Amino acid sequence: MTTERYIELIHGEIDGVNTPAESAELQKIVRDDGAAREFQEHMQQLAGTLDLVDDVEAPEGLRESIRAGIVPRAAASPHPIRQRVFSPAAGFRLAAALAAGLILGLLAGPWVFDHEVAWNPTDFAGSMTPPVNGSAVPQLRFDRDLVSGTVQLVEEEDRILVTFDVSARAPMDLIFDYDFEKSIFKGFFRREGAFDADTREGRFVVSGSGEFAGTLALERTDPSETTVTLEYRRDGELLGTEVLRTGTLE
Amino acid sequence: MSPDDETLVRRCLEGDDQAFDELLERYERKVFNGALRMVNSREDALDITQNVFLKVYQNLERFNARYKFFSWIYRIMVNESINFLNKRKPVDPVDESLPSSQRGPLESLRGVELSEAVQDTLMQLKPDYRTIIVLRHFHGHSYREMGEILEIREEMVKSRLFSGRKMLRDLMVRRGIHSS
Repeated sequence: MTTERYIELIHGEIDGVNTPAESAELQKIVRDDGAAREFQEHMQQLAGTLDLVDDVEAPEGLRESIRAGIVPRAAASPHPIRQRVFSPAAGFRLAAALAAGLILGLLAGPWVFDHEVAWNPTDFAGSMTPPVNGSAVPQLRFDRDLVSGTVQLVEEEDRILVTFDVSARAPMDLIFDYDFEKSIFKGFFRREGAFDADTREGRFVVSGSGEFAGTLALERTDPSETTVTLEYRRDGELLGTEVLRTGTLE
Repeated sequence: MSPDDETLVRRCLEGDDQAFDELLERYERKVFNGALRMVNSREDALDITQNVFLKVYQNLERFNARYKFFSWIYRIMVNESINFLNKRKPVDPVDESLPSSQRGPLESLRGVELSEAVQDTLMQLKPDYRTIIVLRHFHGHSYREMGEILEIREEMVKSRLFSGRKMLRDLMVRRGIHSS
């Protein structure tokens, strides 16, 4: 009996997903194995403690403040005005955010329109689009047999944004390799289309077919030049490679 | 029988704002509690909750009906919370050198004290692990649902959940926390 097996069974029991046969298997293991028994007790105790943590009521007035911030759909503008009623400081933060957004729009607007980049700050599919205020390398277009699209790297002082917009005519893995000694994966934004995404050290893998797009954010831990390599693979076979290179930030 | 979420979304898109009120009523408390567990600040959780619902409203046309509404709104809550945490100064890590006995007696906690102690410990976890603990233990989501919300495979959900529990348990032991 491996440790991995009893760990999986113990968590499964806590989560209520074990079959009767798996529950019986676990019972036998914990009867015979002291380490398994101790681990089960620890996890049960943790789950029991978490069960005791109370949910809290939503504050009074929250619903009304949300409603107040929404322009009815029939008369909605693209950007409904939000009213904040809870924090005295919130008004200042909102004003600062709006001012920053205006400046950002003035700076980024001409670049966005000149380059026809598939980047719309209001694009949104379950995530917050990060602000762009860095410098961009030219957009790279690629067109191979089974996959085409654009990929772009935007450099900021402390992070790198890699945006991609892909059309794959067959199930495809897009593998973004980055130097994890110079940058750390921080998040994934602007998801469009259906695909799987996975990340591990130095590698971000997107798997899907059809039209899909997204942006991944890397935090820079080293200002020197670094590269992001994009590979396309189908069933493990390498179909092509693109290399995006940053400059050296002062 | 009350309409399902997807019906409410469709009605809302047709201009029925009462349908949005129903969604608000259904998810207000869940979103607020999720955000609160993620950021450990009532005021910031309020801001996040407002943001989540405004984004939902503004982007309802983009909601893909192939997916569940709850997984979409939870994903927005998680992303908003993590974006907020990325902007906020990190919390101080636990002082590993301090034996639990010197941190004051936390054993046999109940109610609010227990919630606060657990929440403080939860904040010591990295956001990825905190998210999965919150979704599983405070919102009761299944592995599959968490996979949909976080857009990761179930295997990764389990891996994160199992590791997160182990880390949380170790942190709680170090801080001398257990329920009565």
